[in-house]
This record gives sequence, C-alpha cells and structure tokens, in this order.
Amino acid sequence: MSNKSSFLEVKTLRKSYGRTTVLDDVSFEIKEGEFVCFLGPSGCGKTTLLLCLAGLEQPDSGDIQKRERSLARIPPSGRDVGIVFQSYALFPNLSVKKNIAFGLENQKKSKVEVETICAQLMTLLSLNEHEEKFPSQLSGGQQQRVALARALAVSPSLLLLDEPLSALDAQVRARLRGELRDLQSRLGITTIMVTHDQEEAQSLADRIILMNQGRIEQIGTPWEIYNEPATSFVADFIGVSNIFRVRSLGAGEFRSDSLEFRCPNHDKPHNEEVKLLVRPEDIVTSHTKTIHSFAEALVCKIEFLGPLVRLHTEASNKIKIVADLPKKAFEIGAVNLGTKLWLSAEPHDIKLLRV
Amino acid sequence: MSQFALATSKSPSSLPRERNDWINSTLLYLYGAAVLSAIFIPMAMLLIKSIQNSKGIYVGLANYQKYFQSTALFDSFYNSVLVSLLTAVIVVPTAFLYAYGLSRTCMRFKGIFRAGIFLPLLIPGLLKAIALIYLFGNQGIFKGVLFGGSIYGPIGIIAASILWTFPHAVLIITVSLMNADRRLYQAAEVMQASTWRAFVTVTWPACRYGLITSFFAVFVMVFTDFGIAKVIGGNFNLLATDIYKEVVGQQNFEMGAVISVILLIPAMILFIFERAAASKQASQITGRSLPLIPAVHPTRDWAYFLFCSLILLSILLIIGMAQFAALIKFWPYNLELTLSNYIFDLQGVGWVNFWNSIQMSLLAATAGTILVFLGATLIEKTRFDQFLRKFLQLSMLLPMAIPGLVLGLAYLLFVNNPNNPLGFLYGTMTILVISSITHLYTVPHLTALTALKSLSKEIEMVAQSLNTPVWRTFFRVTVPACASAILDIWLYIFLRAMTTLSAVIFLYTADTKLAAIAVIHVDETGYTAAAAAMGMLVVYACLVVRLLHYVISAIVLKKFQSWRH
Repeated sequence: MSNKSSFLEVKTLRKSYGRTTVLDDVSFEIKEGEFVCFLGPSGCGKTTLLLCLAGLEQPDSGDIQKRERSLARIPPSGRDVGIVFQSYALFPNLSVKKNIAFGLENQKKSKVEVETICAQLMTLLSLNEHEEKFPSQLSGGQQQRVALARALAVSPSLLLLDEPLSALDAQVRARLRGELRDLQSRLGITTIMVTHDQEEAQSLADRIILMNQGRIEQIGTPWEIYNEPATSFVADFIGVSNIFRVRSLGAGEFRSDSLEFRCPNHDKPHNEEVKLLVRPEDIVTSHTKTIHSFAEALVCKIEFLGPLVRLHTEASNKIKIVADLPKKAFEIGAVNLGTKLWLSAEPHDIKLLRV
Repeated sequence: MSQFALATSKSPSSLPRERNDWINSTLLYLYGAAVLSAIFIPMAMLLIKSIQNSKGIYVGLANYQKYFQSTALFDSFYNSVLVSLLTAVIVVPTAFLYAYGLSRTCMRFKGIFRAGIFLPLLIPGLLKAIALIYLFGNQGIFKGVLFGGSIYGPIGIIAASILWTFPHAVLIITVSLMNADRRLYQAAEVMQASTWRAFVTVTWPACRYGLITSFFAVFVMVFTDFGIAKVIGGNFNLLATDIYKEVVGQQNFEMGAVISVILLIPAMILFIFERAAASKQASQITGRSLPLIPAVHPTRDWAYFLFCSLILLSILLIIGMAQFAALIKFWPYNLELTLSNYIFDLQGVGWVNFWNSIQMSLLAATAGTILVFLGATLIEKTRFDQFLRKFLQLSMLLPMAIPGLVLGLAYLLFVNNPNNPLGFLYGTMTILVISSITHLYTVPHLTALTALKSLSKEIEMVAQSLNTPVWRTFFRVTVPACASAILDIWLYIFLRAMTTLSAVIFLYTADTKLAAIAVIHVDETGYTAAAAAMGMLVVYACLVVRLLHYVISAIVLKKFQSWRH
C-alpha cells in the first residue's frame, strides 16, 4: 500500500461543544483503498470525526482534503461518501430493493441501470430472497447488509461506517466482520470504520487510529499498536498489560521497591522516572531466579482460559502482575495459590512507554 | 422539557449549506411569519386594547382599575375558580378509577368501555348542557334528585363540565398507567410487599404526574370554557361569560380585553405547571419496560365492571336524552315523536349552519393537518436556524394556554384594525378556519412531533449523503411513515372544529354562522328541542367521520404501513 498516494488528508482538526473539546488537533492521512478504524472508548470523539468527514458536522478549525481538494465548503451530498449508521437508519416504509435504489434514483439513472446495480448488490450481499421485504421483517445482520448495499449503490469513493456491527449478537458479528473485510478488498473502496471494540479493529483494519479524549494517541497497523504501544493508554486499551512505574539507574537498569529490570535496549539518564510495559504472555515463570527475572511474586488467583492459564500474582508493595502461561507450560500441582514464583521477561519484550 | 428537545442540540453554525438547507430555511422563515401573524400580533393587539379607551387613546391601567373596583370581578373570578376546582376534584379520581379499570384489571367488555369513553368527545358541550336541563331542569325527569336545588347555575355547569372533561382526563391517566414495568411488580411480589405497598411504591410514582397533568388540564378547560355556562349557567357569572357579555352584549371591547387578560394570566400559569408535570411524566417512559399483564381477581374485576358500567351508562343516558329531546314534539307535555325539530323554521337558523360547520371543519382539518405536519417537520428536521426553531417550538405550546374566547377576541380586534392589510378576512369563512386551526394547534403539533421523533434522525443524514432533495425524502419516507399520525391529526382537528365554539363566537357573520353557534341562538329563543336537534346533527356528522376515519385508517395502514408489525 505504501506506493499509493494520499487519498484523504485531515489537518489539525478541532471541534468543541461549549467547554468540552471533542476533537483536539487531529491530523492524519489515509491512502486509497485502505481500511482504517477509528478506535477508542465512548466519548473519545471518533463518531464526531466521522461525521465531520461526511459533512454532517462542522469542525471549528482545520481542514479535510480529499485528493488534495478541500472539503470545507462542500455539503454532504457533494462529498461522494456512503455512510452506514449503527442504527442502520433504513427507510422503514420502503422495501429492501427500494431502499437500495433510493440513492440511485437521485442520480437520474435509467430504470435498467437501477435494476442491474440493485441486482448485483443484492447478490453480492446475499439479499436476493429478501428483495420485497421491509426492514422490520429482517434480522439485524440482514438489515446491516441492506444499509451497506444502500451506501455502496451510488458507488461512493469513501465508505464511512459508524459502529456498524455493535448492535448485533456475537456470532453474527464475527461472521459479518469477515464478510465486510472480503467485500472491502474485493471492491477496493477506501473505508473508515468507527468502533470501540479493539478486537474488531484489530481483525479488520489495515491501520488503526486510536483516539482518547479528542486526541490521537497512536496511528499504526494492528501489529504496531499491540506490540509497540506509544502510551500507557494504548497499552491498556489494547489487550491486557502490566505497566510499571520505575526509576532509571542508567545503563538500561530500572528499579522500584520490589522490581528490577535489565534492558540495555532502553537507555535513560540516571534517576528519570519511566513507565515500562510487559504483556502477560511475555512473562516466563520459574521457581528460581534467572538472569531476566524482574520480580518475585505470590500467586493469588489462577484462571483457566482454555488455551492459556492466567496467573494473578502480587509482588511486595502490593504490585499486581498478570502472567499468561501456555497450557503446555503449566504444570498442575507445581503452582498453587500462595506459591512464590520468579517472573522474568526478555529485554526486547519490555517496552518503554511515552509518559 | 425533554420531549421538546430538538433533533440536533449541537450548533452546526458554519456547516456548508446546500440546496436542501436553503429550501428548509426559507420555508421555516415563512412558517415563522405565519406564526407571528396568527398568534403574536393578534395577542399584542388584545393587550394594547386593554390599555386604551373606546376611541383608541392610551389610558394606562384605567380600564383595569375600573374593573377591579367593581365587585363583579371578584365574584366571577371566585365562581370560575370554584367551578373549575370542584370539577377537577371530582373528575380526576373518577377518571383514575376508570382508567385503572381499563388498564389494570381483567373486567369484561373492556373494548366497549374503551370505545365508549370517546363518545363525549363527539358531542358539543352545549348539547350536554341541554340534555342535563331535560334531565334535571325545571321540567326535568329527575328534578327531585336535586332536592329543590337548581340545575341552572353551578351544579349544572359542574355536571356538564364533568361530562366534557372526563374523557380527556381518562386519556391522560391511561397513558401514565400504561407506563408500567411488569418486572417492578414481580420484584415487589418477590420481596413480599403487600398490595398496598406495591401500589404506593410502584403504581403511584409511575402515574402521579399523569394525575397532576390531568388535574391541571381539567381545571384549565373548565376555567376557560364558556359554552356550557352560557346554556346552563343561569345568572351564575364566570370570567368567560363576562367576556362574552361585555363584547357581544355591550360592544365594550376594552373591558372584554381586560377580562381576557385576567383570564389569560392564571390559564398561562396553570398551563406551565401542566407542561412541567407532563414532561416529568414523559421522562419516566423508557420504552424498555415489559408491559404489565393484569391478573384475574374476580371481586376486584366485578367491582370495576360495575363502576365503569355506571359511568358509561350515564354517558349514554346524556346522549340518549339529547337525541330524545330532539325527537319529541313538546317537552314534557306532548311526548309524540317527530322529525319537525330538524326543519329549523326559525329566522337566521337552518341547515345552512350545519353545512357551514361541515365546510369550516373540513377546511380547518385539511389545511390544519398540512400546516401542522409541515411545520413540525421543519422544526424537527432543519439543520440550521437553531434560535428560530427553539422559538417556534415553544410558540407551538401557546395556543393551548390561550382560552379560545380570548383568541377569538384578539382575532376580532386584529381583523377589525383599519391598518391591517389582512382586514379583508373579516366576516369570511377563512378567518373562522384560521382561528380554529390556531386554537387547536398544540395537540396535533405534539402528535406530529412524537411521530417524527420515532423516525431515526440518522435517516435524514443518510438521505443527505445520498444527495436526495428534501421533498423526496418528505414524500417518499416521512409522510408514508407517519400516515397514521397524520390521519389522527386530521380527525382531531375536524371533531374539535365541529364541536367547539369559543374560538369562533366573535368572528362569525350571518353568512358564516356555524351549527354550534346556531345551537346557542336557538336555545336563547326558547326552542330547546330545535337546539337539541341542531346539536344532534353535529353528533351524527362526527360519528360518521369517526367511522370513516376508522375505515380509511385501516386501508391506509394496510397500504403504507405493512412494514409495521
């Protein structure tokens, strides 16, 4: 994808409602054909950002450019976007087919053309047998597909999805997730999806834009976001994390009362306070101290999660540490409640976070 | 006032406007101008009149001073409050029991009781008064029941007002009783709460605002009504009848305006209380509650059955009496049946009045429905002009707070003003139509708003991003999806325009005299049987239209709303 030019460019977007800042200096670029997720907790500004892109909300300052043309004075109808809402917002009194054809009729397409496009989309989204049904006669997943078909019918250059899957139950959701990704790569349409579900974002997106309180915390591929989180917020939001506040002793050594890390890859000046992240699955336990051990802790709770076993441990000074062991590495009987274990992590698994 | 919150509370002040937005804005400003000239300018003229003398010269508060010095004011004010208070005190508990029977018991024939309660809405208030006179008047069947007391006066006014306001109170309270969550009652039962405790902790909090709302609503209705008192009030003076006497009897517009203002102020204050209670009520309805299914309880069910039958029978008795009165030769001496009362061989009264009423009500209902629905859509769906929309939204509540008689007088002053370019409206059917629509505006507006709010606001956003012209979304989606609400609005305006009189009593001329006004005139000349006959014509028309509405609704719902389950 790196060879493709910038399709959408957002520059220092700001927006506030009275005293609450919803978007604070938001800037990013999206390439043509990319699938991008705006991810973040509710109230982080991700939906507002999406509505700004659609022209349904107006930013206080900043600019949005599509193919190097500013969209600032262009109303929603001129922006060439398709939009799907969480509630689907289907026209309740129109049949599936008429819903899909609605936008096409505005484009003054001939009857034959409308018919062809509708038929194609209905086949593509397996809605053929529901053509004459009304939205209220469809299941949630089917309604979602109709909304998608309606948005795609006018062949927009940008598809905006506002939490399209969150009203569905878990199974339908997982299946539609796959269908959505297939469809997107087949049509090659640039897509932005808003979600608060980190798993959904990770499985779908080429890149994730992670937001918190109106600011962008990090932009990156799902791999980067998980493995190289920039801030403790990102680390906490994506997956399970152990975050430690420690003081640098220089030469890659870090220490707090009960913790002791040696990671020569992070060189920080003496006495600086830093945050370190260790993912639970990167922790190795042993009964004796090893070269990479960073703490000795008591096992307080053992959770069996199928493929892995999660140990909740506590080092002195009540520091809680979560360690995940693969099922195979866990010996029944050897580790019990109250067992004392040494926890170790290799230097490259210890991440330095931006404070 | 959560139910009046606008769709986009955020301010998209600098969003780029497109064609749709310009269309919406233009229409919205036109609508605002119409509201201004239909409500605010006439009311301003009324206020101005109250501080002028008969030659139109400013006299400050002299008119008020004069009025406060006469004892008549205090008497009328006291009488109005007394009659309204007593009516409300009787109606609200009775209506509560009736509504409770309908929604929380397993009594038999609930459907009949539910339909029967709508009957009084089809009958003009005057006709109820006439029926009461036949039943309890000087030559009434049950005269003895009053122990020598007279039906002409407070007793008659209260009795007729009870009949008139009862269905309204039942409707309000039923809504609040429907707002019951089965799970709350199950929880109370599991925790072994007594029936009484469940009532106090679950039923009461859920419906108390409904009771308060209905109390204020009934009070204001009676406080501002005039037709009933006119027919059955005798020499018992109320504020509303005082206005009529000053304006029609003495041509004293200044004093009429003064009394109007005095009537208007408490009506406004009570109305604000009523809206506050109503919005509290609305905020309790979550839409997520499981409906309550009442359990069978034979003793209770039979008790409610008896109670509701009693109420329904008295309603039927009144209608039956009115019909009987219209059909007999000379009460009470010659009880032979005849249709001659329907001939109306009286000067200035005839079938033409009935046709006038039909014409006026059809026009008011049709024009009113279009205006109401368009206006509500504009207020709800326009993305811009935040301030104007909020202002209009609040203005739409005003008509309910302005007594019909006061509005009528304001219109009279408005069209009679020599400087008014709209003066040509004086004496036309159009002015009757406009004043009826304005008078009845609030309830249909709220109905339209509720229907519009039930459509997801994101639908507009989707339509916009699909580059749909605003009228296409309106006709293809909004109107069909709200078809049943639109029909209900039409029916409401038609029925009320047929039966109400206060908003038009000052505005008709010999050519545009309506049936309800004719009833008063015939009654004044002493031909009560003919008055009853004229009143019954209104009832027949209302019944026919009610049935037609039922049939058309069924067809339209089948055609446009098969998507609804």
